[in-house]
Amino acid sequence: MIPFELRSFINVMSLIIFGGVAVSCVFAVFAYFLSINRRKRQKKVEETPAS
Amino acid sequence: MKKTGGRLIRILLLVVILLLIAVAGLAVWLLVERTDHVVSNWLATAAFCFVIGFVSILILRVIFFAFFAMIHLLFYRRKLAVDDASNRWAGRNKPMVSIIVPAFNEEKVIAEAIRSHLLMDYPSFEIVVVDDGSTDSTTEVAKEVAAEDKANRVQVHKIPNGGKGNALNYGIGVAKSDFLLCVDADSRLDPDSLNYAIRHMKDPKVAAVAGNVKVLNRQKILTNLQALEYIIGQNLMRRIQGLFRCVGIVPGPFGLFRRQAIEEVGLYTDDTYAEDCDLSLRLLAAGWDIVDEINSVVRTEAPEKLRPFIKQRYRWTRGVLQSLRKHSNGFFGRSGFKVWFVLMNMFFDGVIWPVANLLAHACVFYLILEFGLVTYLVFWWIHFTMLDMGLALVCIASERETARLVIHILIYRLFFLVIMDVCKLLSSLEEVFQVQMGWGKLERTGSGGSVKKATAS
Repeated sequence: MIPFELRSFINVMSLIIFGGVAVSCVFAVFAYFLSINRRKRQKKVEETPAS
Repeated sequence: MKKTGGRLIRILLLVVILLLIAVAGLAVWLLVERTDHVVSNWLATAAFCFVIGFVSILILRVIFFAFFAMIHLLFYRRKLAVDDASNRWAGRNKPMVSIIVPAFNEEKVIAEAIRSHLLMDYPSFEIVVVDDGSTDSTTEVAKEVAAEDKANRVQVHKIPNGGKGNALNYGIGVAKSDFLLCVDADSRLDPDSLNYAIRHMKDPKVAAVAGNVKVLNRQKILTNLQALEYIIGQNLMRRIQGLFRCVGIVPGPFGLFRRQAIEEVGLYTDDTYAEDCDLSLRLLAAGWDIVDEINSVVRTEAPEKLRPFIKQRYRWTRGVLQSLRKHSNGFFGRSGFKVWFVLMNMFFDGVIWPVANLLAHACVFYLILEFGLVTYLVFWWIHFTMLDMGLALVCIASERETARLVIHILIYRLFFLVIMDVCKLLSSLEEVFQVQMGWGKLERTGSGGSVKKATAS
């Protein structure tokens, strides 16, 4: 068995996790702009005359 | 004024999140500086390897789900734009829908539920309330609300107690229309929910539309945690299933069905505790599509105390496992790709993942004891909390939900998920050993407040 330093383990884990969090935060911003604002949409639908 | 307040809360929340990230970074740096342990024990190495593997899968899961949620949102926007251009949204071609409300001892909540249905912004519907042999005044309360509606859209029936599936089947038999909206007795529909759902029925392959269930009573920490869990659950796996048109569970509080499809597969059955899951799997096996509609919002009461909450989760997990057992042929691909995909999802979420989560926690506690690393516990908690926060942010943003729910992430994994996973594990064991279990009806509190009185259209 190869002994390993706990410090390197924590370093690697932190790097991966902070990376994951950063990516999901970027996704969250995208998601906010892609999502539908139901109230605004309802208003728009009501304002559109029946064709 | 309200708008400024909302903006202020958002800015504050953003500051809190940034602070949390900064504190997390600092804590990790301090931990790294003070750690000089060398691991050479095989059990500790195995535990570390398991933890690394678990965290890596967790991160991949987060990124994978978030990515598919984006794809789903893109497709959804596009389809909605096409629908907007059609006459349907101008108030035409909206078919008649029958809303089936099965009820058993629901006197505290049934009135407000029916009122919310009557307030819906949909031109033609009827409400069929089926009292499944209640011993309280459910029928009388329902009849009182029915009398309030001058358009006579509500009918109330009382039948001998025979289970939820039986009550739903009775309601389907009595209902007149080709589209059936099955809801729970405490479900409160948003006014535009049916408008969003009915669009999907233009496609003759669609058998059912699954709505978006939200927690109504958000006054307590436990109910807020459940609200967060519902949002996360419905924006991750559900979106992927929706993308492939194979939603595994059409939820009891909002399920819009095509009569032809539901009759073809033999209506609801009472041989599992999750009649909704069983019906969805039968529909998928028969080749029908099941889609989800994130904007068909329905609000229900969640358990406010720990005991009823555990009971509810026990029943749900047991029901899903019973459905898995019933449809076990599907694991080998005999019922098609969609059923296989859904069954694998359910097995992973219901059995594999809870076991892995508990095992990972156990590994961490073992490592803490082995190396005397109490600070490592902080490190573990910070990591998971941050990952869960990232995931929760994606889900909350994609629904434009209340941002303050994110704060509950601080106790989400250490407290809430552990309880849920223990529940799942125990009910899986009970299912394996076939331990008898009752329905465990949730005691309603009626704490969701009232809706405005319905006015007849």
